[in-house]
Amino acid sequence: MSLAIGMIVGALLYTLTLSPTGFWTTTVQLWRIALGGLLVGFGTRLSSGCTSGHGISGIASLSKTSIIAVIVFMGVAIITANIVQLLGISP
Amino acid sequence: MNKTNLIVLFGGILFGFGLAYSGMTKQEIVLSFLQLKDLGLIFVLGGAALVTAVAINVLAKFLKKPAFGKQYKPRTRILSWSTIVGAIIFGVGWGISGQCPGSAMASLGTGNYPILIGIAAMFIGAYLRGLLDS
Repeated sequence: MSLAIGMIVGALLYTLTLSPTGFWTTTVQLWRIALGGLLVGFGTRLSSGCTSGHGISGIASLSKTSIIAVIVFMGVAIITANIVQLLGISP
Repeated sequence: MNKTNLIVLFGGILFGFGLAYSGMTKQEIVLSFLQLKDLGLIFVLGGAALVTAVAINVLAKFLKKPAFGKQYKPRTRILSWSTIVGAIIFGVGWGISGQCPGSAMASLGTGNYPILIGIAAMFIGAYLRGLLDS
């Protein structure tokens, strides 16, 4: 909980200080945010890690499991993002 | 708030600040990486992993025990089909939306209120995963 609060506060500090543009909202369509979020939540828990857990901590500790997970999710995400783009869905 | 929570809060502030500074709180920037148009993300992820690797593998050798804990404990993750299938599902979600748990939380701090829908969806997704076990 204090991690989540800290992350929000840290990003807020950046937005109020160094950010050249200030507050910002995404233009990515909400159905993409909702559907993507559902899969990200399910997948993170099933694979015991995400871009932070497997990507940063896992790679840093040279965990074989994490390195494989990162290769898999990054490859799948690149393929998915390109399929979405090819379907003409933007943003 | 105890000492451990305070240091975690501080770490979170640094992490959130860095994610916002590097643009990773913007789903558009993450998606442009995944479409291979802007390779910034790989440097952010690689840079963060490198700094963390120094902390885990070098700094930890100089300290007999963690500054805010009793002893070092490795977090072992056993490779299983769950890891692979979970990573595939995560990848599809990441590729559709350009958001992941950490960047979504930090994104809230940049004023990106629509991401609340994504965060709510992540909780539902994680909850549904939990239902499979029970």
